[in-house]
Amino acid sequence: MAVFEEIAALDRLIHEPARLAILTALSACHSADFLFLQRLTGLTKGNLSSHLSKLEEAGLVKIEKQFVGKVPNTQASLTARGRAAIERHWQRLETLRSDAQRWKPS
Amino acid sequence: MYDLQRVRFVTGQFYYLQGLRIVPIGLYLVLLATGWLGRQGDCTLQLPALLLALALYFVAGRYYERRFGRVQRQSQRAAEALLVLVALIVFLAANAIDAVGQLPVSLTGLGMASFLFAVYAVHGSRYRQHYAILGVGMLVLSLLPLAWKQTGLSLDRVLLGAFGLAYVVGGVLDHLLLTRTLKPLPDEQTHDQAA
Repeated sequence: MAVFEEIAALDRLIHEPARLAILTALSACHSADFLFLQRLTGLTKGNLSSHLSKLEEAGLVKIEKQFVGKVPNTQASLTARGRAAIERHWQRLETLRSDAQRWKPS
Repeated sequence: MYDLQRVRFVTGQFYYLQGLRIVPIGLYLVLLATGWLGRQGDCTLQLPALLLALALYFVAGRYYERRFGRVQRQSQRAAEALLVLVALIVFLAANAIDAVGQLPVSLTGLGMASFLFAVYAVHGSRYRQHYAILGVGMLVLSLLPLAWKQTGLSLDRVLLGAFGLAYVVGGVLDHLLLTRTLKPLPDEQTHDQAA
């Protein structure tokens, strides 16, 4: 596949910067709560909720609501599918980077 | 744009970057080394100070949880517990050998330096190079026990104080790394700008 075709084939659901940051963070832990993800991304509550909902609808992220003491707490974690998808995405980006470095105009 | 390598590192190492947790323990070791908590084995001040340092470890944990949220680590606690146990046994053995023999190097100090290098190697990367630098400092101290004896200072106390200081410096730098990576909440930002 040519470099430009590979770029076009990137999954836009995952490649959007905030969602890529969320998925990358979740790939480094078992789960993280809403406050941590908000601190990490700097998104407003509404924006973060919207991104998490999209990822949950796509089956990439699992959202669990629980109580820590008396305080409600929302935990997000990657599903098996989400973990495979973000790994695949990173591999594709790495391939793209090395292909782009080798690419010469003919 | 997000620095995704940093995002991955800070999330994976969130627990270890909670540097304020270990600062009281480092201060306790420094105070112990300077003799401000009484002579070796005198528990009048040493035990309450140790309990206070341990209590502050948990208080700092609560602070991080309230301010930055919760991250559940990928399960590796059994391996970590084993590593700590091995480190403790090696440290006690090194200390016993140092007490008996007149070695040209301090095994206890080498053990402390190895611990700092291990922190850098296992939980470090380029974001926590300060542990490698602190390890080198500790290594230099361990290789010069005879020089310390000539100054009249107790080598054990020098090493303990240096290790405590390394904990304090490492903890503060870890805390700064965490606070510089995690962003203020959008409403906090608005408040800061208004002020």
